Amino acid sequence: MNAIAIIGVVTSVVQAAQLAIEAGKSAAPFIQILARTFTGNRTEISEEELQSIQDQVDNLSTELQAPLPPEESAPSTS
Amino acid sequence: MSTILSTLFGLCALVLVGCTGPSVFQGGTSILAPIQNPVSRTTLAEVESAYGIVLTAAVAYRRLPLCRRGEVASATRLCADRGVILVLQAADRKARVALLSARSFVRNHPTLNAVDIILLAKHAVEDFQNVAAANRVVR
Repeated sequence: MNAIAIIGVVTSVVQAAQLAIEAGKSAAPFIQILARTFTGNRTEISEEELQSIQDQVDNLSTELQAPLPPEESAPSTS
Repeated sequence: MSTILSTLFGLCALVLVGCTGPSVFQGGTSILAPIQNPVSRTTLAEVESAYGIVLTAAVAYRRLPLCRRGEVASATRLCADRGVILVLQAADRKARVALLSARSFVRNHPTLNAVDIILLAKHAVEDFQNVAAANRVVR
C-alpha cells in the first residue's frame, strides 16, 4: 500500500471516529433515559423530560427527512 | 328526618371533597379522582429514547457526503448511498406514525393503560432498527 493510500485510510478512520463521537454526544440524552431502566433506577419521567426527548427525536427525524440534492455523476477515470 | 338529611348532606359533601383533590392512591384525599398513569409516560420515553439512539446513527449516516452515481462506499471513501437514505426515510415515516399515535394517546388519556399502543410504537421502532442494521447503518 503506498503512502497516499495509507493517508487516505487513516483520514477515513479519523472521519469515522469523529462521526461516532458526534453520534455518541447526540445520543447521550437518550442513553441517560434508558440507563435508568437498565441500572434498576427506573424513576418516573417528568412531562418536561418527555417533551425534551420528543423534541430531539422530532429534530432528528426532520433532518433525516430533508430532501436529497440532485445526484452527481462519478468523476471520469479516463 | 333532619338526621337523614344531614347524613345525606354529609355524604354529598364527602363525595364533592373527594372529587376535588388528588387521588388517595397518590397521597391525596379524593377517592374518585382519576389516577395519573406515570408508567405510560416513562415507557413512552424509553421507546422514544431507543428510537432517538438509532435515529442519531441514521442522521450521522445522512450527514456523510452522498456517493456519486456508480460510486460505492469504501474504507478510503466514506459516503452515504442515496438508496439507503430513501429506505431509512420510508422506515422513519412509518415509525413516526406509530410514535405520534402513542404520544397522542398518552397525552389525551393520561389515566388509561397505554401499553398496547406503546407496544405498536415499539414494534415500529424495531422495524426501523432492523432496516438500519440491514443496511449497515447500525450494527
